Amino acid sequence: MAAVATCDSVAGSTGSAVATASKRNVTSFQKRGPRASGTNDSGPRLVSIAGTRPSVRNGQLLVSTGLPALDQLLGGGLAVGTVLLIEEDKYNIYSPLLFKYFLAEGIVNGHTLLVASAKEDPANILQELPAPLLDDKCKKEFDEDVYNHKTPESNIKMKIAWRYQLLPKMEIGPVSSSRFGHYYDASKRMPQELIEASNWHGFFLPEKISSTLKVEPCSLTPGYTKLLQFIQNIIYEEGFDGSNPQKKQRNILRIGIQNLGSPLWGDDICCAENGGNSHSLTKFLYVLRGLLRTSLSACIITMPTHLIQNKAIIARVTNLSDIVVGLESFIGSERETNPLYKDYHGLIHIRQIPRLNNLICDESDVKDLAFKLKRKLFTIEAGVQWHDLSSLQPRLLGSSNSPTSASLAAGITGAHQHAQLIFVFLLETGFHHVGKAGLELLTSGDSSTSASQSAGITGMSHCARPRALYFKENKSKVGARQLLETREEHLSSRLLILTQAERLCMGRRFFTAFHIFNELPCKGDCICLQTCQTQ
Amino acid sequence: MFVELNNLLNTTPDRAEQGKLTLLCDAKTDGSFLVHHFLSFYLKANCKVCFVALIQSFSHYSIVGQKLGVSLTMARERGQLVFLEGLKSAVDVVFQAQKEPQPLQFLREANAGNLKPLFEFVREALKPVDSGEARWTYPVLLVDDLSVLLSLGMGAVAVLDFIHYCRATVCWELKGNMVVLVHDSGDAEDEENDILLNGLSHQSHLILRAEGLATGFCRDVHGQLRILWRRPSQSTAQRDQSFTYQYKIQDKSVSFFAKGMSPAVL
Repeated sequence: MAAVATCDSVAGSTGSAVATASKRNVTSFQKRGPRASGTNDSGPRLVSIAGTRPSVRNGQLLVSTGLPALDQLLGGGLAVGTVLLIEEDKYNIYSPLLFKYFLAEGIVNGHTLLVASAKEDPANILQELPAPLLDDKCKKEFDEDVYNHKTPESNIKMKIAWRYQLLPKMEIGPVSSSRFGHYYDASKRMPQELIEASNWHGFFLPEKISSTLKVEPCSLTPGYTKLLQFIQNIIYEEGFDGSNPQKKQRNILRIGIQNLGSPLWGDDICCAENGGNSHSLTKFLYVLRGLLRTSLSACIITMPTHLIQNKAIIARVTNLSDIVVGLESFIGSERETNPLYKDYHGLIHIRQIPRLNNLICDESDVKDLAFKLKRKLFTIEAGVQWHDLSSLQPRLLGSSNSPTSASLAAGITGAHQHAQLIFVFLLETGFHHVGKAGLELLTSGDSSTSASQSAGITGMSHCARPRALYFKENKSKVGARQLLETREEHLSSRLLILTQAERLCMGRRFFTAFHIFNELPCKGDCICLQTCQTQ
Repeated sequence: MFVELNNLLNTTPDRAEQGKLTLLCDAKTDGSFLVHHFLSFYLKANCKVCFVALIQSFSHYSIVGQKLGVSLTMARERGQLVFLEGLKSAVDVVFQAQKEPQPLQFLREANAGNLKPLFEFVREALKPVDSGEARWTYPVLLVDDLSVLLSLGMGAVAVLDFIHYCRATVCWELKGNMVVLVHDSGDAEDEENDILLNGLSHQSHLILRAEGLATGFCRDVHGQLRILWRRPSQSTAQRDQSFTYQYKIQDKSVSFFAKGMSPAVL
């Protein structure tokens, strides 16, 4: 077998060693793993841990959320030692999926799991994890590994690699895929043997709370206190905290907490606006953050924020979490029947990205994100593809928050990957300037002004005064300077107001130009340029 | 330390005013770059700094500090910097019973405790040492951020009391400076936070307010900074003057420019 072949002299066995390597993809000449530079200066250099990679931006060790698209949006992944907070959608249909992806990714990479729930038994949650879509090569590898484990030959030491013996073996779990981030098939269950082979701890609140209560160390609700103690125990006993070096191979602890803050946890923030222990949740998060920061662990929390009565608590919770991602499903809302959204199941909002070891953060330029649950995959797509714009116009009326919103309408149209905006101009004259700037009118209507037609404006709405016009950005990007000139021409008599520029997902130049519009003072009558929200 | 910000504030580490309270405030954006600025500013000014860091870990501040040209580790070893790592301290307080009171002792108390231990910690840290010649010019207290104390169950009045005590000791008695950060909760209607912010705005000498752009996210302009001086005896033109600049945060510095004058569009 392969191991025997490598027992020959070094020179003689080179060929066979290469052959072995290519066949099994397990060789002693291993690539050194990612190094965490700077972040963990207390301990020795981090050796490679399966399913992790260092961040390009700040050197933090990252783990995957189990959803490669989300990883990309969060700047590469979830940094070890941070909290990812998922704001649940209204009927809690899609957030458990993200939760399960996170746990499944842990199982595939051989990470230790800690699942906490007040609603379901963690064992049941694990049974329902989605199956990983490993490609065939990985699968074959996996089978071979299992086989090799059983043969006594695998115990023979490979002499060629004597000086590499001290290096840790690359494989940790039975699944040898050390790729970062996997895809999962939501229609299938995780194979039983993978779950059995994994190392996990469950925290089921009804079980824990029935045991005798000790004196509360702090003013947290008993459920939170128990959970904190449980987590701290696991971290300490299994050596995930950097201060006590782990005896065996270093590993990551993935913590998942379901429906935190819901009444099942014994918290009353969902029931009353000013509950007696409204600080329980924030205190819990603070101590949890402290635990995570000093250990090799990452945490995902799903929270029913729409149930929390007091908006101030949500703001505080956001400040105490590192990454906040909100899910907004279309189920039950009027958007479900809106043709604009017919291809999607909801919107995903990236509310907060942490600044770790850095002054800046990796913020994605694309803010319009929608998700869709296909038969097997959960996908996130940038930019909402809006097709038939004319049919949308009445639906969107009144969607902006300006006082004159009745006459304003908006929409986002996606020609390419990015959404394009239709602007509403409230103006009395001077269309041609806009036309010159490269904006093209979409809807057709009253065509009284010949000047506007010659300038490429095809129509306007029938609103009285001020009149509303719908513009679409031309395919040729508008130069910032050109827009500035337009603005100069308008300054004498018109005004430009732009709100919600975050919805603008256009070329950079164009984008910034509008900020100028907004910031410079202008006098007299105004053009009100308003992009409306997608809502 | 961002030189451009120093120019805007018309100050340098060599000639900084003493006995002042600076309020940093952020609304709809992250104002932590201001904390990093003042931390490196006062370390370069050779001040004795007590940094109450409640929101991030030491390594975070240390790595950013390196980018700005100060070494927090060395400053701590020299005794110039006293660093209270709130996250670590909270874990210790909650999980281990300690005999002597910890700065964040109130976490353990069932009823709303007080911030006296924290104040004692600050006073102890900034107490002038008699031995030999003065190594450090003047003491500075830095807090990042006070809103966390509200989240941890302290009332706004307790936090204001704490600041008042600190002002009396640090600003008045020791002729030092204080810099504190508070989030502006904006439309979240966080009453306690509003009380705290208004109370501090009333007391402070200088308010730096970082705001996200009203028009939303922009790649080239990260927000705007409003500078509000509250000098007592100045000509009326200069009093309560407010300046607004837009800024862009870069890897190691922050560039400021007048509104609408971002280099990306000019």
